[in-house]
Amino acid sequence: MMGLFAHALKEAVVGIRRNVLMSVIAASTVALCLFMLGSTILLSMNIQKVAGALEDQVEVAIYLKGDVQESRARQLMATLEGRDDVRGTRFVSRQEALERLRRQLGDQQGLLDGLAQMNPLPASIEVSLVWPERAGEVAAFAAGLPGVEEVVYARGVVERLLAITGLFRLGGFGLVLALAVATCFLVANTIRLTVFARRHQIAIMRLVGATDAFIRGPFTLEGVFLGLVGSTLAAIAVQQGYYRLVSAITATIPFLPLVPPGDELAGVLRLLVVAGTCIGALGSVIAVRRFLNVQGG
Amino acid sequence: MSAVICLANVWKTFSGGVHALREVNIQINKGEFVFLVGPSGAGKSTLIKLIYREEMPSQGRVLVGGKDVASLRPREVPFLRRRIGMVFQDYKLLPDKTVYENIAFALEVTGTPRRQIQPRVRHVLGLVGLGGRLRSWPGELSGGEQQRVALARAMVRDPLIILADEPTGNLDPDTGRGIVSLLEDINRLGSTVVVATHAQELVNSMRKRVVELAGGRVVRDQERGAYR
Repeated sequence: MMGLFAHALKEAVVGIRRNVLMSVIAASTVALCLFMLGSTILLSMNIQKVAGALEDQVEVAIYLKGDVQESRARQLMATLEGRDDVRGTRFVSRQEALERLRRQLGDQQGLLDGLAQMNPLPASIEVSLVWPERAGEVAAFAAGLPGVEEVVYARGVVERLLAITGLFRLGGFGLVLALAVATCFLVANTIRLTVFARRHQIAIMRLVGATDAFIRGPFTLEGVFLGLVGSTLAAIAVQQGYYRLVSAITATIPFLPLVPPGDELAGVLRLLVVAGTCIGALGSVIAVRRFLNVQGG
Repeated sequence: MSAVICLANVWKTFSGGVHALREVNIQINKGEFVFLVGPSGAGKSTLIKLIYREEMPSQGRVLVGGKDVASLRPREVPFLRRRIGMVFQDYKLLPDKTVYENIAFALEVTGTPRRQIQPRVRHVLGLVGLGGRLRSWPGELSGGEQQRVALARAMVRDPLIILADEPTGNLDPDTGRGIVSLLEDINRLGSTVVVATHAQELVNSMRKRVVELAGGRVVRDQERGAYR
């Protein structure tokens, strides 16, 4: 068995050396395909991340009646947090509400000076959600609680936002899927070409009594090697490219929530290398099998 | 005398109903040298292919070394072929391997230890008169030299049978004679040799057993025969 592997390794090295052009073309195709796949995966991941950040901003605001004390508000908050679709609640006192308004008005905050003694703003509870699509339900529930004056959420806007982020998610996923399939075919086909170029060699191997495993061995190793080299190049390019892109974007649009070039990126790179190597091997096996089965029986 | 190759009532019909072989009965004994003659399309190549199981008989039995080749499982076919040395009109050498590697390959396939490969390859290359061309590429050799490399590859495993399908088809008469005389040498070393050919002078000059095919039938089987 060791002899078989050693022979396959030797033959694979010789095969690549004597078919340099074909090998370079195959490895480059693998690299290009996987670079595109990797970029698309990262694009998709960032779309998910931005969509998630937008969805997280969906809140329900519960305005309390004027006579409700903070202790009563705390009880309401506990009730709300008992629901599994509520992530958290935050109490906004009348004083805090006024200060927020002042800040929002900026230069024109002089308008509020007359109100110094009498604050017209109600206290409120801000509810953040686990699932933004449940905003309506949470709002309806809150409206029925005692001491609640009015419940407000961005009705219509939430639904539209969810429709858009959903579309983006689906699009990103579809793009990745389509590219993954295309990559599989392209890489497998390129490896097949390297095998096809040597179909006569396979025919002769069969004539002199080589077993199928003996014939397949070197080609499989070649496929693994070409896949590994191509996908490693792709991974390096994706890593470098993404690092630079993120630095550039963060410098101009600092608040955009991007996937940082850390563990998640490393995961994508690993995936690329593993996928490239496997498709390389698989492409070889499939291609060789076709030439092994030319004569049935 | 034990039969090395035995075809009993063999028919080969290709899809479309073409009968390539009809009711063929041939027995070839160990150590024999047989010419298979007849016009193109007579069924010579098909008969050769049945022996190394590139084709299966439609009817009848093909025994090689006493074993029915039709009963072999696909994974057993390589082991049949290791006992048969094959020579073709177009040499079938691997263009990206040197002369040495082409012959060594036939031994590597069987898992022969490396120490034994080199002396045996050198030995057979010496027998075919190409001892000095070890490192040449097939493309650098003449047709006759390439066919001698193919002969060396066929004989390097001391096969039970050598099958040669038009081995001189691409060669001038003198070179062809050289190839056939090498086949005779191999035959003397113990291998049974079957040569399909339509090189008349060669057959006539050798006076070996001649089996003539016409339209897929054996029309003549003659010891010390001529091409006619």
